[in-house]
Amino acid sequence: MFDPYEILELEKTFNIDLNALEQAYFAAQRNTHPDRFALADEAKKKDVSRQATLVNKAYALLKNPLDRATYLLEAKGVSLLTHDPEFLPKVIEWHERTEAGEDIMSELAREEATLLQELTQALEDHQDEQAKKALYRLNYVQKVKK
Amino acid sequence: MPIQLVEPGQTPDLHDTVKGVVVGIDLGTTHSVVAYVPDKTPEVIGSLIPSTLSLEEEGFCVGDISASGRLSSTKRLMGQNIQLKLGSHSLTSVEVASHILSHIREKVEKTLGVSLEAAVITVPAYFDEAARVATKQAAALAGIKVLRLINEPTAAALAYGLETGAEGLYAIYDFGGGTFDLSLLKLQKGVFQVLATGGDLALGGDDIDHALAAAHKLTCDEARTLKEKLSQLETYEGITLKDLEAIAHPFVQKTIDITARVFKDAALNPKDIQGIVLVGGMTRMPLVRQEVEAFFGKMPLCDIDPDRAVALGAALSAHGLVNGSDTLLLDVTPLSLGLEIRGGLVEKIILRNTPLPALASQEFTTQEDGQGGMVIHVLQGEREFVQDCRSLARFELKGLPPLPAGMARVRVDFAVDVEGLLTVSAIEKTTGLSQHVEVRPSSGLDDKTLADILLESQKYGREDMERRLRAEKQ
Repeated sequence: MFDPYEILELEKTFNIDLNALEQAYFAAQRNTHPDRFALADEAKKKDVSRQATLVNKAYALLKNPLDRATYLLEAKGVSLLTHDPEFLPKVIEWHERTEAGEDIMSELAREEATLLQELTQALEDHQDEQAKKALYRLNYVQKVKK
Repeated sequence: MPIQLVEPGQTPDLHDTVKGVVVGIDLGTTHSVVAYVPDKTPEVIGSLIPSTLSLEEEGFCVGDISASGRLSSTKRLMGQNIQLKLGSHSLTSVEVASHILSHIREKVEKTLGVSLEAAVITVPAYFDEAARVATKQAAALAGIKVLRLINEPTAAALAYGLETGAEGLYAIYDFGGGTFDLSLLKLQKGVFQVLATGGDLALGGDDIDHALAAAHKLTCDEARTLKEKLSQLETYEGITLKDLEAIAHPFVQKTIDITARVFKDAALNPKDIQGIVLVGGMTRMPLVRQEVEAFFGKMPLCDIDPDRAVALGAALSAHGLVNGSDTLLLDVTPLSLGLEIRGGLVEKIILRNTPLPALASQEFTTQEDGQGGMVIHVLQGEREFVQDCRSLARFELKGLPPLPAGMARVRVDFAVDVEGLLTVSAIEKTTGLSQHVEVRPSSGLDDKTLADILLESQKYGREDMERRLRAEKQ
């Protein structure tokens, strides 16, 4: 199984120091980047290229808090929400206000910050149900923002 | 899955295997430059070589800008299957490039007295798959082993960063004879990380020359001279700097629009940039500098020779690849890659600005009961419809197991290596009977044609050599 934390040799926590993540990424690339093996044989080149690809994938995943949360929950065997009836009234309200021409971007940004905090807290406290909800809602808010 | 790590700095000692010189080659639209690293600092070998091909009595001649009927700016056609006429000869842009590269090889070997062992060749960051493959083919025809292709703005950043020790976010604005590239890089000690790149393959000084020539009824050569003179003078031959700027402005504005888009892609603000490095001959034009300065709210850096930076960076890269280096170059793919799906739409598999090397997969299924095959059509570009993207390859996955519609599972893998070259494979995995098709897309020349040209060039190469030996004896 693809484990981004193991690939970048990082502790499996949701909270990540982005500088430390970047340094871990560079360190891993120093060991696997194909440029370091420019004159190696084809088999070796193929092997390091595959490893460098996984390092890139791991970095991209861990950089994004939502992907990180998704990974951590799925790794635990938690199945993610596909709908959230309690959240529906808010969704409808936003939709109606946007239709009426109202600019709700700053409200969405505030909502996003609150949800991210909820998600962080829930993951730290191993409250998987709350984490699932916060993650679902965050995904939704980000989609609306776009 | 644990990744097997190797000891840092375990690049094999390549000194033993490399006997000749390794160089960096900037194979430019207007001119080409070659450089090497004699000790620690890169140096250009000789001067700028005009990227032209003409016919003289002794045969093909590179770099003679006074020759009539010469081929020039053929880099703009790289990867396109267009035959160019030169006297009684008919050549592709790949063959023209191979003549230029052969000329460079001879020049290097004559100047340094050693054989050219291998080279890093630069390409515009925005070069697509076909143009990259074409560049490698040209090198193969010229008998040059390519260590790696690197992107021109990345090479310039390498030259600039290693020389100045710069750290932070930098924009490389590369406006050359044929192409425009804009790359955003994060420079740190020993790491050159491209965050986003964008460009236009058909936007260069040539376009301004053509527009100028059309407006003032000049030849393109005259227009180019005029453009260059007006970088220093207010008027030349009755045409003023203002006239030139009126014609050049829309083109320069296009570069600024692309620059703005790249910032949007990277979710960065022009204010976040520590410095702007100018590369390419067009950046000598005062209007270009003004517009760049206006966009960034900051003076661009001009302490690097815009014509030589790319070759110097390529030389540093070549030297590092062969001798081992602590410098890490992390680049991205400039264009999205995808597959044709129903309704003539393109499903993107790898998005632009994905760090390289990259791998992505997508599963597809059949639309009809018992469907025995599936056409895999690989495309490159940002647009939604197939006809607006560049078609890279098309192949049929045959022998699918007879299953109801929607039951077959075909996984298509896209792998892009550090040079930006793509390999596509497709596997049918429902029944365990898996098929594996590897495709190395290339357009312009197929392997058979390439082999023929190679044979022919070797034949002529020998004739050329014999002729030269005879000439030297006389």
